[in-house]
Amino acid sequence: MGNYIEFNRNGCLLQGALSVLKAINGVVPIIHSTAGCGIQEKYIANTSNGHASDNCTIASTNIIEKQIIFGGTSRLREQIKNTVKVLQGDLYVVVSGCATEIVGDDIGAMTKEASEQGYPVINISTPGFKGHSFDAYQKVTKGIIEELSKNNDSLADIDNDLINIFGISPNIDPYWEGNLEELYSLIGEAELKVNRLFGYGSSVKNWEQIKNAGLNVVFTSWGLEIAEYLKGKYRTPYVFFEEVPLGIKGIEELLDKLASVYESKKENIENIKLNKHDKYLYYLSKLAPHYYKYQIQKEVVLVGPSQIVTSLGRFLEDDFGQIVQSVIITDNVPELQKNSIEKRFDQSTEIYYSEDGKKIEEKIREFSPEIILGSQLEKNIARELDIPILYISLPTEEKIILSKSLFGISGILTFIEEYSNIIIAAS
Amino acid sequence: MAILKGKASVIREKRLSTIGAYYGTVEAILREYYDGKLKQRVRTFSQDTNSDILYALQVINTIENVGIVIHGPRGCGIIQNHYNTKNLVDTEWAVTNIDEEDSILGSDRKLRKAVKSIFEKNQPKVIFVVTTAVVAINNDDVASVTQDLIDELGIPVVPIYTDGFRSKVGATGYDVAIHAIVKYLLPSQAEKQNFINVITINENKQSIEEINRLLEAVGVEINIFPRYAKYENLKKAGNAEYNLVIKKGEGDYFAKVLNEIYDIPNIEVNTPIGIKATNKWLTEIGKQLGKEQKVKELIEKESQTSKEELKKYQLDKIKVFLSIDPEYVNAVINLLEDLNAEVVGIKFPYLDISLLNQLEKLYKKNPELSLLIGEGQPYEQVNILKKTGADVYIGNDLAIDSITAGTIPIFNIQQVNILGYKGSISFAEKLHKLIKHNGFSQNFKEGVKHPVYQSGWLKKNANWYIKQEVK
Repeated sequence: MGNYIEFNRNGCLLQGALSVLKAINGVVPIIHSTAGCGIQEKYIANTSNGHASDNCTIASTNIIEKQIIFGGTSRLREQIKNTVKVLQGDLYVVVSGCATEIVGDDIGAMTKEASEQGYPVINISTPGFKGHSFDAYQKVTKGIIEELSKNNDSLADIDNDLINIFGISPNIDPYWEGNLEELYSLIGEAELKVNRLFGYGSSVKNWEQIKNAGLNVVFTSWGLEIAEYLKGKYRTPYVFFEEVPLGIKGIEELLDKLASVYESKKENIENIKLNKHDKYLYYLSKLAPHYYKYQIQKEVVLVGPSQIVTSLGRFLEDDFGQIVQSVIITDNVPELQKNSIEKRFDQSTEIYYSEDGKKIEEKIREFSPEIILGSQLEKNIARELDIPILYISLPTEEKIILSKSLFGISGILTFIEEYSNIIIAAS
Repeated sequence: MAILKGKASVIREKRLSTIGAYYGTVEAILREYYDGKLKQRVRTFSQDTNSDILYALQVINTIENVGIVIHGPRGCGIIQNHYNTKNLVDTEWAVTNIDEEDSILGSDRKLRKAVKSIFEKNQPKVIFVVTTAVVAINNDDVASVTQDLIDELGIPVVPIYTDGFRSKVGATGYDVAIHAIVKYLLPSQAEKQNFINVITINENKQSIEEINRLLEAVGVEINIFPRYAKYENLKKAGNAEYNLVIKKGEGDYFAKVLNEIYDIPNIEVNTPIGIKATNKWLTEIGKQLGKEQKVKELIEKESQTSKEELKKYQLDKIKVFLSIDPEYVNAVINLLEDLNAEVVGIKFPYLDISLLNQLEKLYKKNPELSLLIGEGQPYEQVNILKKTGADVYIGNDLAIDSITAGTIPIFNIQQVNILGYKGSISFAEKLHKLIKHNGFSQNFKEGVKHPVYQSGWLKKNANWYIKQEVK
């Protein structure tokens, strides 16, 4: 039984599904639930999402009392029929909320009916009481791949140089789009192609050609499950990173793994590595005098989902000389994975798991760090301790994040620039 | 206290003949109301919109030293983070986090534990329990839990029975919260004291400051609530001589209940937007409360300078689409006309019988004016905008962010004060800037590569999916 949560920051399964779905061009989510479920997601997922604009655009049956009593399937049928006429899309995905699941609407029958009429409509069951927003990435991604493969499961035209990326979750990680862009360009430099699945340049067509990729590059537990699934289904090999590799070491690790798969590109990749390293050190040396002058070496606490804070925490400790007092993990990490996370830090760093805003505040107070990397919900404790705060996890409503990243040379340099500036400003 | 007998207020469709779906002329809908042939309409295509829960939260979430417990699955009420940001407060809130097991076995133990523990930890003066769809459908026992806790903790534990589906109009949530506040927090009898209640539900901080400033300037003793109020402000609401409701569609139920129980009449006034309207608003209040002289002095002091100020922001004849609350519509149209702008289409979130005087005024101005009623629903608004040829969109629409990447500039007044002298001037100034310096919106002139709406839809009449409800 889950506990009550004060100042909750993580949405439900339905909201997580919307975070993911609205990041795919051509995908149109249809909510089958009471009004308001989707609206609330808007404010935990940072700024609205490009052309699909805002959550008020999302189709929703907004079911009312009589549909709760007598069932809401006919309302859903009507909504599906009209959504395809109003909202332009290549794939319509019905996602269900608590109310319609409790009363037992046969949602699958409605989507089946629509697809028999030739409309690309699928459904994914996402009642809020059944899961966490962090469960949505795997569920939705796998759900779409499975449904699309029902129409066309032939394995044609494998393109060895084509790469799928999994494990960076849209709108659940505030820097998802910038991180993906950096990854795309790095892979492009290595003369390989990326199959864009989320954000700018994504399309349903790209989702249909997931099976044609020569390699899946996957990050964190979010990506691993999907990679395993695709390996079983299409025998696509994958390379796995426990965390999104940040900093120059991360880039090198990624390039090394690519080189190990693509022997013929090895020379080029080695060159890229040298150039990146050179460039990184060039800019880092510009920072060096300031680093020492302003003592940019602080005791820091990080707050956010494991997918973000473990890699950033390690970068700060190992590559930037910061003292990471604690990494506070706010997603629902399974017990099995906790061990592996703890191994990544030495004993001076405490790993603490909570998604309760109040308990997190208490923990931070206990550590009394010099800087917090967290979400907007840690703003008050930062104010209380009179220390700076940088937003690295959601919610970050007060801050606009468009294409900023943590990954890549420019991403990490921008980050340490901001980190240093905020410390200088506070000193 | 017959009015408070039910566990929640009667839904607005029944109480006020509220409608939340209509597109047509002002005249046609006014006739429906007056001929007693009002049709309830529904949308056969709809986009996500606010539920009653989100409105109920706005009634309680700026009151000092309260705790809010949202009784539902983890995603319910997560918007409270946003409300805290928007309202500039740190109101304590929690979600009981109902999971699958609770939804089968019942959630009363969980609720009890959450409320108790939040009381022990944070010592709030009042705890509100806001219920959600899962609790309502499963018919979980909330009443006996909250009653037990009132006895046990010695503070009011107030159940607010929202559910997300009972009413088609989200604004019903305002009433549900108000109903609970009066029922649980106010004494049953009260002696008259020399002040008036200023009832404000969803106004932003600057708007409240301006109202406060004007009323203080004419020497009126006021008790403002529930927005940014203390528990004490609520408790003494029954002692007031008059109620002054800032926005009828939001706070009228409060005034109605207070009048029924404590016999507190309303001061009926216009909306203080624009200079003339603000003068009139003050004059009416002055008359009612015997403050004529002070009102006269204030008007003399501010009215002329404000008029001069407004002249600076005259526009070249522009066309406006206006999405605003019905209480404000005529006042804003008058102000826009003073600024040389013409309103070519309007939208309300809802309409009801208490707001028909505003509709009459509109009718007298232009019976053929097109009126869209609904909350959010940007698909209809985008359709209409294309056809009306508006030069600017002005409003506080729920879905305003969905319209921003269009070719015309958007004047988002959600966080802007437009009330009183100050509000009128800042409205005019900001609009003027937006129209004269429109470089940002010009970027979207060529349109976007991935259209959101089917071209077939944009050619249809915007009322295509608004149908008469089949009972």
